[in-house]
Amino acid sequence: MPLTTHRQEGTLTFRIDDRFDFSLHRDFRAAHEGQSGVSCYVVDLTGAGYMDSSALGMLLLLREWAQGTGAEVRILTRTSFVRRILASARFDKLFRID
Amino acid sequence: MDRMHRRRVAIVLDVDALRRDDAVARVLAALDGIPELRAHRAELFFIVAELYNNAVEHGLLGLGSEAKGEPGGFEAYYAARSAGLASLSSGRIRIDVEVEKRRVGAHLRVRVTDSGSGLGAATRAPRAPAPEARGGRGLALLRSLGAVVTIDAPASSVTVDYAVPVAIGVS
Repeated sequence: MPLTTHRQEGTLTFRIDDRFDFSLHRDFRAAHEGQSGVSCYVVDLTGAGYMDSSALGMLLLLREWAQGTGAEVRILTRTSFVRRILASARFDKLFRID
Repeated sequence: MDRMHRRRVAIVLDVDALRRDDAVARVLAALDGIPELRAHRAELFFIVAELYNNAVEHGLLGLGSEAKGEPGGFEAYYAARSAGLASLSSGRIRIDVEVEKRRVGAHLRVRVTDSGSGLGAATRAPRAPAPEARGGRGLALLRSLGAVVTIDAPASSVTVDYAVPVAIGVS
């Protein structure tokens, strides 16, 4: 599965492997909208080597959802290209990126 | 230039191929094994995906990125993409990729041409949207990565030229 979720108390982690692109949009939304009591969403992109600009739209939708519930969103990445894309889109101003 | 220094891949997608929607994977597979690109597959994916998705969504299907910003618009946009491809009766996209080995690194050129009369290439302005914008940033991001984006509106084609750096360590 390219998208798997893991819930531990108030933290909901999305792990995305291989490709983070528009083909995940339905699963990505269902994964966070179906949960309540989340104080922190973690988007783990350490296994995602590829992404396109639609992935950024999905991250923004998650951010909007989280803001509505007072939760924070963290993005984890170890891939230099993903980091470059996030920086180019100025997402460092919107998300905590580790 | 001999074959050792230049590699060309051309993929023409007709309606059936467009419905399979696997063009990006096909292009990456066709370029697999080129040593200069090995450490830059993420950039290659991004470039091809942006140009191909623009051609499908704006060129062939006439979808406007601004719709993504409306409530529920993001979902509706991709639902419209799926529905549009499923009911597509005519249309064609051609993807041309050229990789030329340079003394240092390589030069990558990706050109995507669509047969659409929807939102033409000229409207895909590579402006940089606000960080909060849900869409419309693909070409601006390509430019920020150092790619040169050339829009040929009459031909409904967009070309990206990208200097592939020499891989140092793991990308």
